[in-house]
This record gives sequence, structure tokens and C-alpha cells, in this order.
Amino acid sequence: MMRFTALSARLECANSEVQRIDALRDYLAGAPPGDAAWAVALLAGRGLGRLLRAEPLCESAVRAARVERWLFDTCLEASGDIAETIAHLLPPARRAESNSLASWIDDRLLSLPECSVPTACERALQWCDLLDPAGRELLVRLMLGRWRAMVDESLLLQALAQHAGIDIRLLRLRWPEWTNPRLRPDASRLAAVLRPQPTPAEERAQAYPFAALQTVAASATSSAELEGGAAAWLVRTRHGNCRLQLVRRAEGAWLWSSSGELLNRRCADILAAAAELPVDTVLEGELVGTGLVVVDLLELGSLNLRDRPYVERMARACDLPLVHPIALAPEIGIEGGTSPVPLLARCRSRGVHGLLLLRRDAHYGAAQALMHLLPPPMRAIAAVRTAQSVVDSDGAVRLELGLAVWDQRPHDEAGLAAALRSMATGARLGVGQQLVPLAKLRLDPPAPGDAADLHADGLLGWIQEATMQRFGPVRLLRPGRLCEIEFDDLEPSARRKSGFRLTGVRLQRWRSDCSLMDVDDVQRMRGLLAPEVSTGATP
Amino acid sequence: MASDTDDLIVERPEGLYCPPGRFHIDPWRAVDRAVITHAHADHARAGHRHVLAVAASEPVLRARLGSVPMQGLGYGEVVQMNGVRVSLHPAGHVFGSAQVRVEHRGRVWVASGDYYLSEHDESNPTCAAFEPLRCDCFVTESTFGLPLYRWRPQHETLAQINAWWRDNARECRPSLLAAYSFGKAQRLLAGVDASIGPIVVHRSVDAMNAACRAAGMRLPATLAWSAIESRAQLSEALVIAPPMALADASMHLLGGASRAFASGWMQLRHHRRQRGFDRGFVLSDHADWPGLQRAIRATGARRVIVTHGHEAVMVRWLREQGLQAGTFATPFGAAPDGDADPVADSP
Repeated sequence: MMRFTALSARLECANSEVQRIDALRDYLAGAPPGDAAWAVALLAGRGLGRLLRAEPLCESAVRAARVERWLFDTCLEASGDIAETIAHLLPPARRAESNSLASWIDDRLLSLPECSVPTACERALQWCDLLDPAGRELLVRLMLGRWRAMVDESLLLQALAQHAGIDIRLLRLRWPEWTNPRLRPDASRLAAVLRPQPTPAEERAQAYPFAALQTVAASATSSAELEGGAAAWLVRTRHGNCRLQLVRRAEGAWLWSSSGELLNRRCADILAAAAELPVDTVLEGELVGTGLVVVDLLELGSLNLRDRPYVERMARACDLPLVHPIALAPEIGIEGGTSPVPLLARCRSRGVHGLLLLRRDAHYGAAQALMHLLPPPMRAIAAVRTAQSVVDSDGAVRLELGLAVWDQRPHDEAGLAAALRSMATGARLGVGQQLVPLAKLRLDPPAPGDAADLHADGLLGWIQEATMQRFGPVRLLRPGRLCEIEFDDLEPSARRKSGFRLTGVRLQRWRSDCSLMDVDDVQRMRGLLAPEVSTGATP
Repeated sequence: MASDTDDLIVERPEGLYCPPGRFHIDPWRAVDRAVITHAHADHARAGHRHVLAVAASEPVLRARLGSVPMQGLGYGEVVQMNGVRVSLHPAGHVFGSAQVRVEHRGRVWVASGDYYLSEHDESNPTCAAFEPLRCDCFVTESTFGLPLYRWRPQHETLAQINAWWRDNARECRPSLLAAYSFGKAQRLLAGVDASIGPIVVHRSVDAMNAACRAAGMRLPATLAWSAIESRAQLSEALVIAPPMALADASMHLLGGASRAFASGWMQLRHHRRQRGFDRGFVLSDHADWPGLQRAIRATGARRVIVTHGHEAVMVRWLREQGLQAGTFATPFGAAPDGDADPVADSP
């Protein structure tokens, strides 16, 4: 129990994924197997249910702590948490006990529902007397059914895989069985989950290694550079979402992403539709919405198709009984055998992010046979309007700049001067006078040991000097510094003042050669929207 | 309650006042004669014409008050002020902190100032331990006047801090420990294991250290923040700085550092979370709930007046114990330097 309390404390303090995984690995390496089993179950989100109601426990705690009820309630108000209040209010533990987590849960906690309420409360407080405040807090949380894991499942799986030295995909495959709430966690079940050797069935449930997908920027490619000419290629739209393989076997179906995630829980619709596929089918495709858009067929009826040409694989795929939400990806013709680049402009629509080029005669996994043709990035000139230091998830301190564009660009220098004057005086800003927030840009911290990078550019100095107002950590800056940004896509968004959400924003360069009159405005940004969308319900 | 004409200490707009002795205790406005309990900014304000304080704390007080005429007293030494016997006694809060004992016509009142006492037999190593004084009326602080606040023995907390520092140093991660520049910073310096790595202090801590060393306190060697040129010098270091300094641009060298705060407020999770620190160490220079009870009991006073921190709770609790209890409204604890306020920042 003490070990698990210490793990909880470490997870609570950890501020990076590495630290969380280290904490979990250290725990797993040191804990007795029975404890580890319960710990992994609790961390995977399994609760013990509500073993006690809060009110009778508080009443008993008031008596045990020898305080008046009003004083208990005052403390509860100050801390805002029943478990924490009880943990601190009870007199210090008279003797420390280091029983195992498994025996605490199996022998003690799970026996609570069989007791009457007063007996249960009495026992709970006796147990508190064996623990330090952190241990008590955890115990009370578990009893009240209010314990929450401080680590997400993917980190827990990573830590377990590293601890046991097994392939994480194997662990993901076994995970649904482990988290079955009807089965009690114990050491032998955990050992079965962590055994390194896969069974033949487990091997067959895995995806094939994904073929390498080459990403090519549109500007760098023309039909001449496509090996064998444009006619040797088949073109489909690419949404830029994760690539999936759907593995259908007699025992079930599994949906794997190219990064090795198992998406069965998230994509129940696809899994249901997979039941209609012939046994031993492996499809590859892309997740679009909640559906699977199929672009390849790797195995059919235990026949390995991967060394067959793509056109043959797809001919067989056309005969498959595909039901919604599984569908074949539509094919886009290249007229007259020219370059696919002009197609990029034609098939721009919301959610589509470039084209997928597949060589007709290539086997699966052949070199340079699968390409993602990216649309050219979009650009905008924006003014830096806010600045803030932020601590990123990796613990590094970064500078976050808020970039803004005009709601409507001023007509002339006089209009610009008027707008700047209004901004400086804090007057109410009319149309054509506002810089509306467009995007945020995080700049990397200067390399350790030299702060010169940012300083040399004068950015930090300028921020200090241009600060008009501070809102906590955020500085509002006098507009003056302009930058050109590049981004992959923009979508309408009613939640944002500018009306757009930008993705993949990066700094192209600082534009000291531009004036505020060159900063883009909302109307120009609207022009960048994909055509289908801008005719739709734009906010 | 404060209007009682026989009271030895009453509340006046400028601060707590002893009418027969014609002097103030920790006044918040400028007065003729002030008795100062300790050198935290909310208790020691500048502008008085004459100051009486513990002799040993003079260098530290001078750093705050400048060149005011100051009379220094040894602990327990008695002076007569207009027929009132006044003496200063250790409060255990910070270096040179005192309780003020006032005796007039056979009656004894004690104003505690801020003090440190817990249920464990231990004291703040940077100053003399709290001395219980028998009195008729005890004017007490109650910063941590809730039963939630019960300190663990301080060696446990210091061991946690050392372990945290050692872990960070092993991974070449600077350890940034926020602590108020006078009091907590020195207590930490005196308590941590200086063999783990270099200790770097912010300039405001450095100034207070200099004053404390001048007054005879022994502290481990420290490096000044201003002498740090590269991140490499900090990789195994413990950096002690007041909380507000952490937002300072000059602290950019500490990107990736582990940040912790040492304060009694860290007892509660929401206070730990509020400030965004990675770790919170529960280490206070104030009495916890058992400490307050123990101090009040030891005075034998039938009457208790609470000055700051959860006054209503404390007064109700004291009355339930059969004591006569009331409050003085003071601005103590609202100011920056003690760990009186969870969100206050040091200047």
C-alpha cells in the first residue's frame, strides 16, 4: 500500500511522460506480483465501486478526530476534498503497517459491502490509523469510489511493455481481456498478459508492416518525375488521417493504425462492418470520419496478395462485399496523362489533404510506389499581438506569440494611424481598426547556455518595450513586428474571433520589410478556404 | 472588546497599541514608538521615530527600516516604558523574532507576533525556540488556524527536499525552490544537505543572507544568481528564489528545471496546484493547529485575542473551550514576506 501511495504521489508530481513512465516502471520492478496486478487494474481505470457512502464516513471521522461538526465542515470547505480533509483531521497514525496493496483490497476493502454501515465506517477509520496522510487519502478515495488514475492508458501500456520487454502491440491485443471488469486482477492473469511469446492466433491478429509512404511537396514534383509517367499511377484523395489495416480472422477483427495503436474500441462501426468480410481478409485504408476508406487489399482468404501488382489487388478488392462504413476510395483520373499537380486544386475540399499516388504495377511495400502529394502550403502575413512564456508538456519553456490579422485592412495611412491611435488609447475599436487573433506560434527556447538567439533578433527586447498591458502571464503588445507564416490548412471555426482555425502553423520568416498595411485581413483568409466550405455555413 | 479601558493592548487605526506604555506593537502606520516583533514586511514597516526590537535582529531590520533610532534588547531583558515593564521573548518564527510581554500593575499581556510551534519537540534551527509565557491575555496569530494544518516533523520534509534535489542533480536538472527571502530561505539553507551540489540564491535572498551572517547565523556557502553565466553551472544546483522572481526574464536559464515551493500552504492540494509547481514541500515558520493549541494552553491565559488567519474559526473554537476570545483586525499576513498568504508574492 505504501509503495502504491508513493507511486500515486510520483505520478501526481510528474510533469512529463518520461517521468510518468519511469515512475510506473520503478513501481512494477519493485512491487510483488499480486500488488502489481491490482495496481495495473486500478491505473487502467478499474474502480472498486462505492464501498461506503461519504456522509456516514464523515460522521464517524468527526467523532474519531474529536472535532465539532462545524469545524470539520469548515475544513472541508477549505480543502474542497473529503478524502484530504479526513486524512489530515484524524489523529496521527499510532502504528505504521506496510501490508500489500493486494491484501488491502482483497482482504479488507472488498469485504466492506458485507458489513453494516456503522461497522464499515468503524473499520475504515481503524484502517486509517495504520496509514500516513497520503495513504489515508488514497484509501478513502478508493472506498468512496472517487479514485482516479493519474496516467492515461497509452502511457501505462508503454510502461508495461518496457517493463516486461514485450511488443506493445501484443499488449494492446491482450488488453481488452485484462480490463474485463468481471475478472478479478491477480498475479497469474497479469503474468499471462505480459508473457513475451505470442500465440499463433495472436500473431495472425497483427497487422502487416505498413508500406513506406513517401511525402512529396507539390512544388517538387511534376509528371516527368513520376517514374514511368503519370499513366503508371493511380490517384486517390488523401485525407491526411491515420493509415489503418483491418485484419479479419475467424476469431475476430482488429483495426491497427500504422503507429501500432489498436482502434477497436474507438471504431466500433468499422468492426461491426468487418464481420461481413470473408474470413482472413486484410485491408488497408484511411480513417475518414468514423469510416474506413479502403485503398489496398493485402490478404484474401489466406492468400497473400502483397507480392501481386496493385491493380490486381484492387481488382479483387472491388469484388469484396463492403458494407458501410467501409468503402473503396474513389479513383481520380489524370486527364491526358499529365501531371497530377493540377488535380490538387480541383479536389480541394474540407478534410482532404492532398493526393495519394499508387503505382499500378508495384507489389505492396515496393520502393517509391506509394506517395502522398501535399498541396502547397498557404501563407499569410500577420502581426505579433500577444506574447507569453509557456511551459510545454516536455518541460521546456517556450515563447508563445499570438498572431493577428486585420478584420478589414485600413484603406490608407490615415486609417492605419487612426486604428493605431484607438488601440493605444484603449478606445472602442470599430470595423477596420481591429487586429483579430489568428493563430498562436510557439518558438523553441534558446539552446541551453546561449540565450543569444532570441536576443540577437531583438525579439525579447522588443516584447518588453512593446508591452501595452499585462493580463497575468499574457502581454498585449503594440503591433509592429510582422511575420510571414506558413500553414497546411484552414477551416472555418465559429469559436475563433477571426473565424478560422489554422493547422500546422509555422514561422516562415520575419518581415521587417513590410508595414502594418501589408498584414492580411479576414477577407483574404476567407478566400483561402476550400471552395465547398466557403459556400456553406460560414459564421 | 478592544475598547475595554483596562486592556493593556488595544487596536488603533495605526496598529496595536499599549495605552499605559504609550507604544505600538508592529504598527502599520508611522508612529513615535514602535516595538517590532520581527523583520517581515507586514510587521516591520518603515517611518517610525523610534524602534525597539531584539538586538540580534538589528542588521536584518536595518536592511528594511534604514537608519531609524533603534534600541536593541536581549531576550528576556526588561525595559520600563512609562511604568510598563516590557520584555521580548523568543517566538521561534524567524531569526530575531520575538513575543512582546507587557506587565502593568500586576497584569501580564503577551503579543505573540508570528510564532512557530508544533506538536513535535523541535524548533526552527535559525532562531531561538518559542518560549511559553504565563499571562492573563494572549494576543495570538492564527495563520494556520484549521485542524487541517498539522506539520510532520521537519526532518521528514527536509529529507524529501534533499531526495528531490538529489534526483534532479542526478539527471542534470536544476532544482528551483521558491521560498520567501527572509526566514524560509535561511531555514532551508540551514537544513538541506549542502554536499549534494552548489546552492545558488536570488539577489533578494543573498541580501538577507548577508544580514543574517552579519548577525552571526551560520549558513552554507552560496553562489549569487548574478554570477551564473550558463545553464551548465545550474545542472546540479539548488536555486533558492522568492516566488515572484520565478516570473523574472532572467530566470530563462532555468527552462526544464524542476520547480518546488516550500510553505505551510503546500499541505493542501489545491494550493499546490494553484501555483503550478511540480512539488510542494510542507515547511512552515508558523504554528500549526496543534502548535497554536499548545501555545495557548501553555500561557494559562483566560482571554485570547486572535489577530490574523481564520480568526472566526479560532474564536469560536476558543469559546467552546470556555475561554474569553475576540479578534483584532490587523493587516498581518496580507503582506508578502511571511508564508502568511498562499498567493502573495515577494517584492
